[in-house]
Amino acid sequence: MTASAVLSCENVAKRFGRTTALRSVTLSVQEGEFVAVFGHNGAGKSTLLNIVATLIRSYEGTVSLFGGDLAKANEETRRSLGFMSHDSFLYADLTAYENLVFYARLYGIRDPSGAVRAMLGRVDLAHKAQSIVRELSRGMKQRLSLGRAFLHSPKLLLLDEPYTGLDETACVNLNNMLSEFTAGGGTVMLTTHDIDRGFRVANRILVLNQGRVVMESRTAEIGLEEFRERYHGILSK
Amino acid sequence: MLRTIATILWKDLRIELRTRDALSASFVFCVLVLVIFNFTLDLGSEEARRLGSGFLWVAFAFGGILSLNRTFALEKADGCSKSLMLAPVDRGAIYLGKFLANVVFMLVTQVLILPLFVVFFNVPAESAVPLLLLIFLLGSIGFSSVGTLFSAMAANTRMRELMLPLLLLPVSIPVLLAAVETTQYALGVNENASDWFKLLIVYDIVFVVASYLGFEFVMEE
Repeated sequence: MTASAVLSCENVAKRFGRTTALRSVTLSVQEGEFVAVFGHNGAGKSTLLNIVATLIRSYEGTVSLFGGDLAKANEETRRSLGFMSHDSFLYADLTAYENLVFYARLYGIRDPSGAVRAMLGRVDLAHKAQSIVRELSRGMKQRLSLGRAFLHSPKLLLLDEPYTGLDETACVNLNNMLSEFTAGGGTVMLTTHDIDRGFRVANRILVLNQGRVVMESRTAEIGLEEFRERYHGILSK
Repeated sequence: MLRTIATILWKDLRIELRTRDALSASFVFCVLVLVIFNFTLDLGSEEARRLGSGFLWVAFAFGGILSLNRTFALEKADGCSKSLMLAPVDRGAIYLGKFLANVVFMLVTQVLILPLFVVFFNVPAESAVPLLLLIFLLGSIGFSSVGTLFSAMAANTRMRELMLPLLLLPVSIPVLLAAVETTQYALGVNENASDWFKLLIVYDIVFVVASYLGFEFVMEE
């Protein structure tokens, strides 16, 4: 692991009963990198993100986060993580504003109200601040969920299929937010099935197949068409 | 830590004020239990005072379970329990916030049920109200302390509605017994219940501390 490695995995494996989700995954993510993880359903992408997010605590191998052992992750480590999962992590019976204020208080953000109003503006939901989350559309919930992950200015952002349910404008908005985030030194690890978007926004790609890393490259070293061809080749095996 | 407890409590109360799911289910259940016992048993005033305390706490216990089942079902929906585990806060503080919310829900139900209990069982409870409120508080703390922990456990099982009473009721026997005995004392049935009061207080302390310490392990994968 180099000095600036935010995340380092060595021979990480995870089994759920008889199903092996990850097999001997070794990778390193440097500060400021934007890594897009591709793979078909069940390839192990979400499991990998859940391990890094400290939500899965029993696994084989070693994971280091910000230079420390993930198994000993403390409150400070968790404060540095932002995670957007398949689940929205939103309370359906609270308003959009109340949900974000709740998380702002949990993360000890000063002036929660101001921070939340600013974030609702960034995800284009200021007009829905007082709407109950249950009544929001799927795309709006996804944007609110994104705002929740960004709210406490994490150092490492883990996004599991963030483009799902977003319309074109919201996707562009998300990419702009992510570009600003990495320009400010933040690190992103994102899983997606959307090859075009994932490839264009990332500076490094990683393909998981049957729990193994089967391809890894910098986006500058491979063209989109070449990647698409190789990716489909991997999936068809 | 206090900030986290207050934040969790605020969130649970806010949701309950908006939906009234836990309180309405618990209240209606308690009313039904009292109505059924009142009309199926023709009790004299002495018997009513002696047995009424038991009926009352049976209603509170099962009404409380309905409310507790809701506590972590709320967190399981949309993965919110994961987001709590991700938050940079002491997990014990999350437990304390949810525990306090459950105590509030149980106490509100008890305060609403008390007048009905007085009317249905013709119990001279007016003079005993301050002592009864203290017993309700101590009983709710004991029942909710272990109930909050077990509702977190049961939420991860497929049959959580069935699992919670199976886990909770055996462990709650001491607090329920003590609550019934002290309620009888407050109603003038028993002459001395000091040992039962001690049991209530000790149970509360032991199970709040034990549940606080055990909560992190329950919430882990």
